[in-house]
Amino acid sequence: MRDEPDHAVQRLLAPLTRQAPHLTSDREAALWAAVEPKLRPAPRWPAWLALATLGAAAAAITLLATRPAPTQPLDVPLAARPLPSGAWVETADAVEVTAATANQTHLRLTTGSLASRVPHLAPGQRYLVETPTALVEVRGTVFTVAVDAAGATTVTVDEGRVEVTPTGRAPRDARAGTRLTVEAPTAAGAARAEARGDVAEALDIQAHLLFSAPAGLARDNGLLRLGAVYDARLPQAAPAFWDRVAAGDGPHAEVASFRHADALRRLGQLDAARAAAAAFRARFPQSPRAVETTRW
Amino acid sequence: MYAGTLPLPGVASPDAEAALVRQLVDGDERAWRGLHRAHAADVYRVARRFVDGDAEAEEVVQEVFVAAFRYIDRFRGGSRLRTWLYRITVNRALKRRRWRTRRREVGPEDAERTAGHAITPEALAADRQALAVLQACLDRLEPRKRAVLVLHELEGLDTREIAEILQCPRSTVLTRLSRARQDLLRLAQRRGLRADDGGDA
Repeated sequence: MRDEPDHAVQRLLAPLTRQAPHLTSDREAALWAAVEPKLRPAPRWPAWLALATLGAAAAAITLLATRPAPTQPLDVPLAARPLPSGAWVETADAVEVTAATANQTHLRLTTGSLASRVPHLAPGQRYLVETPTALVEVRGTVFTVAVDAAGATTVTVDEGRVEVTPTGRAPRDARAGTRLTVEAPTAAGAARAEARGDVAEALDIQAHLLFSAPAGLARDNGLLRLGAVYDARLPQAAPAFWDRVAAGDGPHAEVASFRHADALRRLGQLDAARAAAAAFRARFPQSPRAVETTRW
Repeated sequence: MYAGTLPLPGVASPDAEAALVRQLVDGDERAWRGLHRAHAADVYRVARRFVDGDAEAEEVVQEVFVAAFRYIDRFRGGSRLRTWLYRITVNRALKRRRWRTRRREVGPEDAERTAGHAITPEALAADRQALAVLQACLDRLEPRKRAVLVLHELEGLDTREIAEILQCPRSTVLTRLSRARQDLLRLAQRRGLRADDGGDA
């Protein structure tokens, strides 16, 4: 193993060698103008003055800590900026800082993207990023939140775990190495999710729209049809959907309660299926499906 | 006496560099201006090999000179100033990459676009998309191997200086260089880039 040139590698890299990044003298001068003010020795203060300043700073910190966090919209881009909580954010887009204290960080992102590096949070500490379509809460992680022109929120988690709560919907976990997109809770949002192949998000939006719709036959029939879609396309999420439908008092509660148990049975979760079937028989003892469930 | 400009990077005599370091430690503004003028472009070029954009590379340049100012009194003269600045540069740039590159990867569409047709080095130069794929191959290398490959193959540093920059034995640098070359060729081949049929000088 010697320090000899490798011609294949050199030929491969030749274009990069030729296009070496170049700093013009103008940029060098501009960078110096930015650096030069930072090249100042730290002032040497008399000990009594340093102590007095430290005392005053400690008093001010105590006062600030006991005051409620001010809501201070800052419609200016943050660039790799540390926050009082110890977290770092990096963005080139406008972010509204609605709270930035040691215990709570609450950022509001309307469009664009925001990368965060959050140290492990102590109990009581919270770090939240709010977007038009989701609330993202963190437990010590590295993640990016991006909002596109249609309002869809994409959360990319590099490390740790993030809880994402689509507005008006159930929270979801996004774990390290995963990307989760929350669309606007509209038919168009569902169509976008469907187009990207995100069946879970498309069905979740449709369910949200139906559950939010005024009570009536159209809504109930819609839920029944959507349940069949869950059974066919996203069986792992079907039990939760049917359970939610069964929790209502609509005319399809009986069907939904049976489908809940049946969906669990088809997933092979037999103990849970039998428990759900028992609850179904207890609630609808006259149901013609009751006998069938006793054979599971 | 230092007069506001430095000799070409890397060719200052040990005595001249020692005198310069003394002035830097004393906070001589002209010495710092000269150091920046002489080395900012090198620092920028090395940083730009590791980070994603011109703006970020310029941020690294600023960080490097601020860090150099802060720690110049710890500079013992065991290596050249340029090597020391490179060490700070590589450390800062890799630190940024650790945070940022996890989010960036070459999509399968990039691989598909380039798969199936070999691209010679000559064509690469004219093909920005293929250049991006080549850059992505570099980005896929393990960071320490990538650092050695970039400093040696792109920056032309010898392995002894790289060992000083990365603060590891030269044998480690040679091992990493060899493996980085193999990894890069394999990654390039997988993406349809071929170097062995080119005649680049």
